Amino acid sequence: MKDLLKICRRYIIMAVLTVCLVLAVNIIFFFVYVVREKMHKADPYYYNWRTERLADSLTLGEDGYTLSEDAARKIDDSYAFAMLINQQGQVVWSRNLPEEIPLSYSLTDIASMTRWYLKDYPVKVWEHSDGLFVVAEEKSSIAKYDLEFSMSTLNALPSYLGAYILCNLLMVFFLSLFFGVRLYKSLKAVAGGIENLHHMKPLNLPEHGTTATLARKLNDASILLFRQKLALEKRDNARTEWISGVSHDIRTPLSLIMGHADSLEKNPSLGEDEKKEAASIRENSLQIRNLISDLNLTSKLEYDSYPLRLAPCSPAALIRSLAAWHMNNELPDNCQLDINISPEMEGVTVMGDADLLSRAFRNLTGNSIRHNPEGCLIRIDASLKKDLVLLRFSDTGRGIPVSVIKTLYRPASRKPSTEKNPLSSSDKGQNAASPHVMGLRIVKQIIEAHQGQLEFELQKDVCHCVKITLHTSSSRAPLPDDTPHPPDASQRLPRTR
Amino acid sequence: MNHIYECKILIVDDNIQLLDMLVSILKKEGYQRLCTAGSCVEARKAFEAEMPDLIILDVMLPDGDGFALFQEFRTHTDIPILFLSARDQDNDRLLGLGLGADDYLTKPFLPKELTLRLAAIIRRTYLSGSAAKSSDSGLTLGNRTVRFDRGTVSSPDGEVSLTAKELLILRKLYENRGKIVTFDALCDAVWGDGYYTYENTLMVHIRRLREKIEEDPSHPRWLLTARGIGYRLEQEGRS
Repeated sequence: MKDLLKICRRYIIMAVLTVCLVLAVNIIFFFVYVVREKMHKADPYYYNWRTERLADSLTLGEDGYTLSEDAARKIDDSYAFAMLINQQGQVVWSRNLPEEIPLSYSLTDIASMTRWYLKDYPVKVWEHSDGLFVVAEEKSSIAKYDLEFSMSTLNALPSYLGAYILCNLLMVFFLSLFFGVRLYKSLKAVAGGIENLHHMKPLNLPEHGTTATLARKLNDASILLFRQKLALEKRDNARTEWISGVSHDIRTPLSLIMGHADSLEKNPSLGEDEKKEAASIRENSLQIRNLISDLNLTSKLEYDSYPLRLAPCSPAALIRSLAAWHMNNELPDNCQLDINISPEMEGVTVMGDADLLSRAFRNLTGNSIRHNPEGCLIRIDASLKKDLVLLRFSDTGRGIPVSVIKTLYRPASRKPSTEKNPLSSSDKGQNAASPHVMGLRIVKQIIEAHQGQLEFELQKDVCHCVKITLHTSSSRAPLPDDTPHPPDASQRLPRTR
Repeated sequence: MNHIYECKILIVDDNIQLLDMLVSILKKEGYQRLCTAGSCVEARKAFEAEMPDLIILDVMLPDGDGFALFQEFRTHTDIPILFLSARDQDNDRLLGLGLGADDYLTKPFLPKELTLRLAAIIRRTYLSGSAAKSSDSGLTLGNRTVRFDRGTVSSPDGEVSLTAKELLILRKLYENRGKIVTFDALCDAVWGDGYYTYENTLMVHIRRLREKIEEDPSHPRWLLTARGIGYRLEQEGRS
């Protein structure tokens, strides 16, 4: 809404500025016109000079009145006619005089003619030593108006002009404000609609006024989006439920397989080879169980149907717990686990689902162990950078191939025709095309669900280091000055088994 | 009940093959008093007829809901009940445990896991007195014996008392004997708080504990440090 007010404010300012600009341009134009006209023959000064000069050019000689050549040419070029009326009202000299013009004038004729027209000819007069010199322009070439102002009006003109401009500006301002408020009100509904659209809420904007078309289109867009959202939700729910259903149905038969395999493995009447086969069945069943669990989790995380149990949790504690879990659960002899938790990490918490974060961390270390049967050194570094927790999971093993990372970041197809049954990813053909990335996908999804960042450091097409960045929660306890810091936990962990 | 194998167990599941397998697993383990039911109706009948000491209950039954059946049984008796279900949703697990079930195990399961959990429930419910007795009767660490009931450590040189915190630390380590217990888990057990600000305090308590239970505290044999992670109480015969 603040943006909307800003738009209206700008609208009003722009309207006032536009009017000011128009006024200024008009005033400038007017003055330019006046100056230009000043130079024109219609200018009173110029007019007087010309008429006076023409009058002076008419002289009385022995042969009567003579006009200088220049003046005669000027009259022929620019005027209709010229004449001289003596004191008795008789025309004593004329040039180009039309027939309709009378040759004698009474005082009344003179009085009415000098200021206006003579037989529709606009005339100008000048005093001559022998009478009144009259020069006329062509018919309909000049308009004459009588303008009279009292002196008091003329004296007050500057203040009137100021008040006039001020009134105009105020009128423009209030009109702009009025139209601005109207625009604001109509846009407010539209802006609210766009906001609701952003939050995927259904719209029902009133479709009238200046924004009627816009409101109608927004309403239509809302209906369309809502339908799409429902369709997507329906499809996503169907997929999640399908996975959940399949995994549920597979659990009981898998229990039987695992139970019987366990029983066979312990059967003393069977040979060692048979026992090994039974153990293999049990181990593979366990893998299937874990895969089902992963599949369920990844499907729920993908469609936001996993309820995150967010609470402040300590990354340092999670990493220690992870290390202890590996140590307590048969870390292979050829694997070593280093943890390096910087002292400032103690007391730092992130707002997260501790179980999920532990799962993500365990997937990373588990991958390092599983994919390096020849053994490797696994290292976990935890440090703090401003308000960010930086976790580095690295190993000295084979590393994660770039193809796995590419598969991880390949956008999922939304087209129904190209959708694959997620369980079919275990097909050989499918495996050959896209490597198995379930564990890493879960890591990615968990970190994204925590608004964190997951990065893979590549070295020659292989990643040996995965970096996780998480935001610290605001509940971080300040380090008391008098509390001695724990010793640096950077050390290679001795295998204590 | 003098022994866990004397426990009479009612197994309720609609899958006959699974029922047979469960019976087989439990019999091999040593449980002989077993009865089965494939539906809610059969379970009610068996419950009334056999009066079991423990029930293994599936959630999805053909003629009803295991949770509802659980509540029905609970109105009559407080015998321990373990849910064994294919429903692995957190909500289901929390619902089952929230209703008061003693445990919730999801399918597929490892037979060993089931028998261990069963044994733990039976011990806790029926043999807790004797178990506590055996636990409190003493923890032998070389030539020293820890008496949890009295909070003392006796050695050839005499007997020393353990403080309340030392006792809590030692009990937590004893409960997870042979496994590393993180600093955080120890601080949570003793102070109900995280490791932060308790680093030095915990170290001091461990040092004092070693002085009481170790022959040579500078070279501990029982209370070992997993550097950077936590502590571990060594199992007998492994040091």
